[in-house]
Amino acid sequence: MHDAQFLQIVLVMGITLLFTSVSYSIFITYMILKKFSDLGDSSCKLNEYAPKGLSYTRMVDNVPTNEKYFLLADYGVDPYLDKKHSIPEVLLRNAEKDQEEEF
Amino acid sequence: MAVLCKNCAGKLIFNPASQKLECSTCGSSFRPEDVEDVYASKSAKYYDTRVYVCSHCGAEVITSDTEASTFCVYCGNPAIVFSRISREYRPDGLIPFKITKEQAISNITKKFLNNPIVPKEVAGKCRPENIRGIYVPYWVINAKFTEADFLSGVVKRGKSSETRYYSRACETQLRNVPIDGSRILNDDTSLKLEPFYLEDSKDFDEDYLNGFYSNTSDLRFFDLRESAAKRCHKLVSEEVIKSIPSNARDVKIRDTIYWVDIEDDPIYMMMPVWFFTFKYKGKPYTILVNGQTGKVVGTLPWQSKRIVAIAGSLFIAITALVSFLFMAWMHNINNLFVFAVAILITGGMAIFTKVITGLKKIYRNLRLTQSEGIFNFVKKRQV
Repeated sequence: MHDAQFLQIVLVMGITLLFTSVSYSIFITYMILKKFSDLGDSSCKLNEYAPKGLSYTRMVDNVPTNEKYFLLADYGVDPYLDKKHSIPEVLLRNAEKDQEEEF
Repeated sequence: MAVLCKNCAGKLIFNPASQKLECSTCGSSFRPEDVEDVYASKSAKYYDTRVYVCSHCGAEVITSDTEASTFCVYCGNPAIVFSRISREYRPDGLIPFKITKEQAISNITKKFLNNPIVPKEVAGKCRPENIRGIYVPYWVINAKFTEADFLSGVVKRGKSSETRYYSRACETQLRNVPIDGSRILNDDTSLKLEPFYLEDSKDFDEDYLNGFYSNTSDLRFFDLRESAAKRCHKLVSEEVIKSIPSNARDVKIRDTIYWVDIEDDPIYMMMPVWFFTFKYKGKPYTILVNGQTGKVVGTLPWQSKRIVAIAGSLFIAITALVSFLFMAWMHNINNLFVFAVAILITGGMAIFTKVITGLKKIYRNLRLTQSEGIFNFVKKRQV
């Protein structure tokens, strides 16, 4: 083995060693932090609130990148815009309070 | 307004363990629905809360009748005097506290036991006087929801990989989704407190509030719709990602658009939450416990020196192990060696990306736990 080749191998090994050690040690430290410090995570799934699940109106794979413009054009308008609902009084009063405070 | 014991006129306090109002003077106990409150009517739109002011420093303390004789949290002076009755909108219902203060303390303390990174002095702060039971306002909504997503994923093709794009649009009908009704509690934090089981809910009765604090909803309809849209998007987008073919890795939503329609008559509810507040190195922290399920939520402070020591030790140990392997291979470099190096580097890179994302999330959660707003909100509800 030539010296240059040997040096090259040692360099690759050194960089690999450093990168591996840093990555894995930070990873294990992160896991420790997550286990002992970060308590609780959101655990609710859609089926708890929507027993019928999702009803897909579009499901296309492997689309071109300009598909997003068609998607936004088709779904970019609020479909519930014309629906009128009664708003609870407490929410209306909070809005009034906010307005009063602004003035 | 707090009701009095019909046997001795002592103050009645709701006990989560027995689910009854108990008299601290004579020990009698009553079911909340059996106690007649002459000051309140269940058909009334409003109910009364009491506001006290510290005559020493002027701080305003919102308390129930049962805690009126305590001291001011800001200056420690016991001279807090009744200021006024505040009329608040009567919620439709509530979930009574099921977890007692002792159980909440026990649940938090369990997180400190055998915990190598949380400072010991923090564990010592988990005392009854630092924990307050507060009924937090929520809106329980039924909603129609529509979402359109443009997604990308990486698919392997032979030795190389390519990015593919996916188009999804869907609608759904959601039932009984709880939305945090208070601006002070961050939506991400309240989300973690879930689930709340509505089977235990009761018609609103002020008697359940005895011994606890309560807050009222300060949202506008616009805020509720915004929170509801984000909440539904979080639930739906997780499912949409699952609809992408399994050969795609690293699936991401590139563009999204979503709309929510909250149906008539959302339900105004009070949910039970224990708040554990403390200061560590001058920074405020609030750890929450779901008062119905006992789930503990928040990010505990850690000892930086201990974390550095752990990371350093791991670095040395891993370096020694990998060096040993390299030395063993040094004289016999073959394909296996090249493969091992490739695995270590690829694995390291994947792990590094995951760690950076994960650490960002932990720091974001820590900032939520350190919220000065929530800390002050709880402190105003002095026990």
